[in-house]
Amino acid sequence: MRHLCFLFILLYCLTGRVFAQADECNTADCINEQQLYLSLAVGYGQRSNPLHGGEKLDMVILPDIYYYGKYLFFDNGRLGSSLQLSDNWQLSLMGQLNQEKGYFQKWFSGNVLQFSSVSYPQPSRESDTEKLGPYQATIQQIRKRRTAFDAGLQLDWFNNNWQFQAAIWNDVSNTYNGQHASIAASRNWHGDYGNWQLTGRLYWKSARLIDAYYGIHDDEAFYTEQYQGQASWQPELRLDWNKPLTERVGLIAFLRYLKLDSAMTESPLVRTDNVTTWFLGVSYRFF
Amino acid sequence: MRSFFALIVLTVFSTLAYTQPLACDEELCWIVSPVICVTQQAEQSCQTELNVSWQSQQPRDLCLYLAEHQLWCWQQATTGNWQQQTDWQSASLSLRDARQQVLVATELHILSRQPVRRRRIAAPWSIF
Repeated sequence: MRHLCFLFILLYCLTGRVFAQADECNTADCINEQQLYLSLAVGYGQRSNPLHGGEKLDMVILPDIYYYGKYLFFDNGRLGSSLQLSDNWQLSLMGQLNQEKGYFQKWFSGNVLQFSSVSYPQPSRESDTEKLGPYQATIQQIRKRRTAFDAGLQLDWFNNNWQFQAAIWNDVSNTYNGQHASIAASRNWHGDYGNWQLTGRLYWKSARLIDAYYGIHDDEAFYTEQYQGQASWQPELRLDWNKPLTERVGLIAFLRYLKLDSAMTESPLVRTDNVTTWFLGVSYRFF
Repeated sequence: MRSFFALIVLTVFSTLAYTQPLACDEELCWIVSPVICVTQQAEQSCQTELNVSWQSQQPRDLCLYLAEHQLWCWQQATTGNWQQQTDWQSASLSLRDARQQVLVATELHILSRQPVRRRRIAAPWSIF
């Protein structure tokens, strides 16, 4: 972690132009400062749940809300402040709810802006038909996991087609007292068949984070083995697509595959080694 | 880069036209023009001629400042005129006495025709 912090500081210094003037941003992805952006998408999609007893998340309505002021921004549950370091570099200090809780509680507040779904009369529970082995536990059998709030530092590099991103987050709510970080690369394409974005991302989650959410301790699930969480590496691949139909209406779709490593799958709570998310719908923008 | 900036300077006179003689009952009066400059892009500086005219009922030692940068000084003068092509941003223009005390000040503003455009740093549709 110290190396990551050092890397951030080094990049921050190398860019040199702290508080420099904002560069002209002229691509289709650029947004205006001091304008509220609100869009809604209606369609259908799902996010799988890798935990025993965890409900998959059905997605019917998705909001997209963001506002970037001169100094502060809000972007779908993420609140922070950004500095334009140079023409291509941007450094942001941010805060948001930790997303791990979303696997344990469907109506987790961090899911509200992430995925808004309607309830079905018979919500599916992926473990309803499965039989638990001796070394498995469901989320109903363990004590409730707490909601954490993270503060993070993110460094972005942009040009017209590429975006590179590195982020490091630390628990500031005294919940799991750990960190997580990620590096990502994205490539954009704009063509007759719509706008595409392919993103590869690698997550690192500290042992304390994994242990707080996926560890099994001696005060819960007494019949199964305890599990002490280890640091986890989780690669992710994600494909986004959108095609404008009119000035305000468009089609959107996305597919995301998150691979879980052994630090996760060896937990008695974890049922699968991946999390898949997909959605297809019609979007309407109110701006 | 600045040569690409299409500057549209709005000459805004506070209460009096610049070409008209100063007429006021205060001990120290001044006129600054323009006080607003409209640029093509936000965050750009303005390159235009600044005009300052002042008059006092008694002789004064005064200096003209743009922010903390001294532009000109007068000694034991009751009137003063200053005009020069100046590169300025939103800042305070002031007349100060020999003790650096601000006697009169006017804010210079830069407005842009287009808002600042930037890139979003979070993924759309908040996928995590």
